[in-house]
Amino acid sequence: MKPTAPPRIATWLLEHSTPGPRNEALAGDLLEEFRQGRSAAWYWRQVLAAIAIACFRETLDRRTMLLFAVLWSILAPGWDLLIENVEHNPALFGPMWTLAWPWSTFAALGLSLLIGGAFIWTGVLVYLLLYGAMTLSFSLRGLRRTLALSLSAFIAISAAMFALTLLLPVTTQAMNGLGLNAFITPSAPKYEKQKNIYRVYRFTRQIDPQTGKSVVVRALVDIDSNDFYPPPPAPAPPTPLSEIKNTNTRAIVARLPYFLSMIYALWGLSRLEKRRRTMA
Amino acid sequence: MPDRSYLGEFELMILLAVLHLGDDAYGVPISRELERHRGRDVSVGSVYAALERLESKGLVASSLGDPTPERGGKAKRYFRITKEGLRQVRETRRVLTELWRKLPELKGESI
Repeated sequence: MKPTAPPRIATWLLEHSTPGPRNEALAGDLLEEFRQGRSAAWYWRQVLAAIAIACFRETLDRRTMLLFAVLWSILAPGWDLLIENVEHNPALFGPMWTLAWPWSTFAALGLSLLIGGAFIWTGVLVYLLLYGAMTLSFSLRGLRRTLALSLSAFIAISAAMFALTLLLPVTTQAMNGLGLNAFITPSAPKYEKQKNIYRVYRFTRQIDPQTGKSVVVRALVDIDSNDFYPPPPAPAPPTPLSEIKNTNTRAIVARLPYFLSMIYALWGLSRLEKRRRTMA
Repeated sequence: MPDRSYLGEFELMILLAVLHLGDDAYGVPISRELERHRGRDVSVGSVYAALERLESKGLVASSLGDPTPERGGKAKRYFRITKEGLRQVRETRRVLTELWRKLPELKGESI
């Protein structure tokens, strides 16, 4: 005997993934057809096609926003480097680094999130100025909500990504500057794999043979033996521009929270506007 | 001056189905009509997507009907063709007919 109710999961997916009044009429049409003898497989096919079409249309409607989010997040590693230099400026944030643990960690984390949020907020405002202001009118309330949402999304996505990278093998984290290594600045230690030995460059204190004084030098340390090697030629220090052009894994991972938070914030903003225009 | 943005094949089919169905033009009969003539399954979602596109161009207008129990309490969305829609259908027919007329018959078979 043929069931009178269509697959429940398919109906739930349809109701939650296709927006607006079209959703209701479409759901009613599919139900009517199903009750007149169509199979569950037909129902599933129709639902999946409707979802694919809705996703495609939503993406197409927001192509400018998506392109802007991609371009803006490309700038993120350059911004990170700039901020890192500011954070480590003793005149500005010197007292923060001398705080006792855990206050120093909380302060550094809070500052990083706030500064990251400021980058996303700037992106949202630049987008509104360049594109949004010409085509859409925004309420102050909507804008405030978007800015708050983007910051919470940034915190949540950064935390989730940090937790995910911790699941990677330690060597993968070290090689790509992920996980706990993400806190290592781009200008500080670089991990290298040489003849299956993972080595790390560190700043260490050594006696200068010429002057006999203790000086800080950059040296290669073998993780396994803890031996020091003569310092390799120092790589060119990264600049904001070189970081923007950087396409290694660390830089890509660093861009992701910014990109996703921008999408989340701007998507919500355009949905609010769409709703307002529909109501008008 | 006539609008030169001609209708796509699927859009034209939908407009013709809406015209043919008259007051009963909503998702289910439009899809069935297309299936009957095309001889293959039609995605109701793509029919709605095309109808929305046509509505945004001002070629069709829609209104909600009353919710019915056999549709799980969900209302039907009825579509009707607008004056502009009708004008574009006629214009497309005129162009297509002229093109077909000018086409020479193929050897041994009529097109």
